[in-house]
Amino acid sequence: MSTDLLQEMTVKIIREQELVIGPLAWIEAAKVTGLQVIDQRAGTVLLNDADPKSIIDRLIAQYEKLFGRASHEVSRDAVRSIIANMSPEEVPSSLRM
Amino acid sequence: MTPEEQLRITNENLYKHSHELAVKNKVLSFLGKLYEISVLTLNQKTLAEQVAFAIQAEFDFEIVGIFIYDKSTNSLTPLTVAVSERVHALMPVDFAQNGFGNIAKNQFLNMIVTKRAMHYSELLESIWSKAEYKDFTRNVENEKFVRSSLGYPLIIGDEVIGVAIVSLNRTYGDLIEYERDSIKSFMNLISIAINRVMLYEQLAIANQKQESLLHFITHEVKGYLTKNKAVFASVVEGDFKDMPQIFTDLAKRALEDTDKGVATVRDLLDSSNLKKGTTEYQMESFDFKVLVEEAVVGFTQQAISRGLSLSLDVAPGIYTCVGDHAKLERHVIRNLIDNSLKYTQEGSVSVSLSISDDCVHFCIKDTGVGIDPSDRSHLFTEGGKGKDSMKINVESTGYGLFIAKVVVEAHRGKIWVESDGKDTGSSFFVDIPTH
Repeated sequence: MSTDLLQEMTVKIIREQELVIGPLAWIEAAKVTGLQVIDQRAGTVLLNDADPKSIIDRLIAQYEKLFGRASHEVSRDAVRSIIANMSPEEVPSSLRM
Repeated sequence: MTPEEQLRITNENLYKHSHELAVKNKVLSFLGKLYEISVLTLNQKTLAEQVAFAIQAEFDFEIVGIFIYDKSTNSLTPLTVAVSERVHALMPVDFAQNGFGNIAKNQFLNMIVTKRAMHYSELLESIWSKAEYKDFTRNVENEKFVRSSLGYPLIIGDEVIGVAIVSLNRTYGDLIEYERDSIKSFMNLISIAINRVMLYEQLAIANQKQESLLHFITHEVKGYLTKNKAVFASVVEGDFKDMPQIFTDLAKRALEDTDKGVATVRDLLDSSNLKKGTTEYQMESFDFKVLVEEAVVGFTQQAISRGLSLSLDVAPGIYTCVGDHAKLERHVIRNLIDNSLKYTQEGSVSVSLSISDDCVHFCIKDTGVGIDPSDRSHLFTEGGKGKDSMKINVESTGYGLFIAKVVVEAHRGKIWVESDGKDTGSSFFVDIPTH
């Protein structure tokens, strides 16, 4: 699976969290290992890990640690239309149904 | 419970509330976007295209179709079908142009129209059931681009005016709260917006037909009046010998009435032509001062017979202008002087002319009935006249000032009125650029 798609998913999750918690969403995202925020306004990030899917798992866990299970659902809802067309093995484990 | 646990629970609750607000905010913001489209668009097809595109892009839906329902044929005509790029790649060429003939044979669509409720299907073929679409529906389902479709009736009052179909790559159960809330709300908005545009379009067509009919009738009436006028004029001018005096007097009155009738019909025709934009302006150089002087002289006898004083005050200057002097004379200058004389029962009518900064200033001030503040807003509109004007001027058509305004504006000029109210007289002002 392309890194572009995973980057798109990452930005979608952060942007959806931003609607709920504001700029804190980007601050928390920047703390995730392997996730580099390039341009917050343009919505560009870099995934620096041999397994980029794990970065998404860590991002989701970061929000969940602070805001509980509800934030996990918000993250999943943000990318629902994308993961609908991915095979189960392509989907980051925290987003699998 | 430890303070840390209390803090965590508070934090999580706060997040849930914020999320609810965020969802509502998103729905409102999206509805605002659709509302903006609906307000700014007055064409049914364009409106449907923009709304469908906005919905498709916002929710990543695969197909968004908006159809108009025709009760007489029980059929659906497409206004628009917006699709995702990947569906577009597989789509037959005529897919977005074809509607649905007799929907009695299409269970999915028939249910929506007859039950007037949302209908759901996980089989795209149940909607687009034509044999020639079989490959397409099978391909998008195999690729898992479309997993389900929702059909909604677009209802106004008790009538189904159309149907909206959305197809997506998830099942209905997979839709999130925001999507479900939005779909319900925007279906209502689409119904209202499309109905508004339909009414607007019907009104525009009705207006156009009425305008053409009016034009035709007035043109015909003008023809008859002109023939009558010629006959009465012959009698009055003595073309027939040994005509009894009583008949000549009768013909004289009939000629005067016919003249008024011709003038009224001419106003209606002129107004119609000005509105349709078929009026041609002969722009040439002329002396505005001469125009006004001749007009004032022409009305002097009428003023005297009504016991009014009519004066003209011209400031020194050169009044050469470029414009259609015939239209300015008849529709603006003569029309305003005639109005002032008709609406002034005693006192005076004073015309003044001045020039400054490449602009001619014409003013006519009378001591007449004045203008009620409530009449001012529609004075220069088509058929608009003061509510008491018929008491004073029974021949008022209400088109004179409208035509004057159109002619003045065609010369890039300005026309306006000032009056302190009823029985205080009025002053009409016209500014015309000299070139």
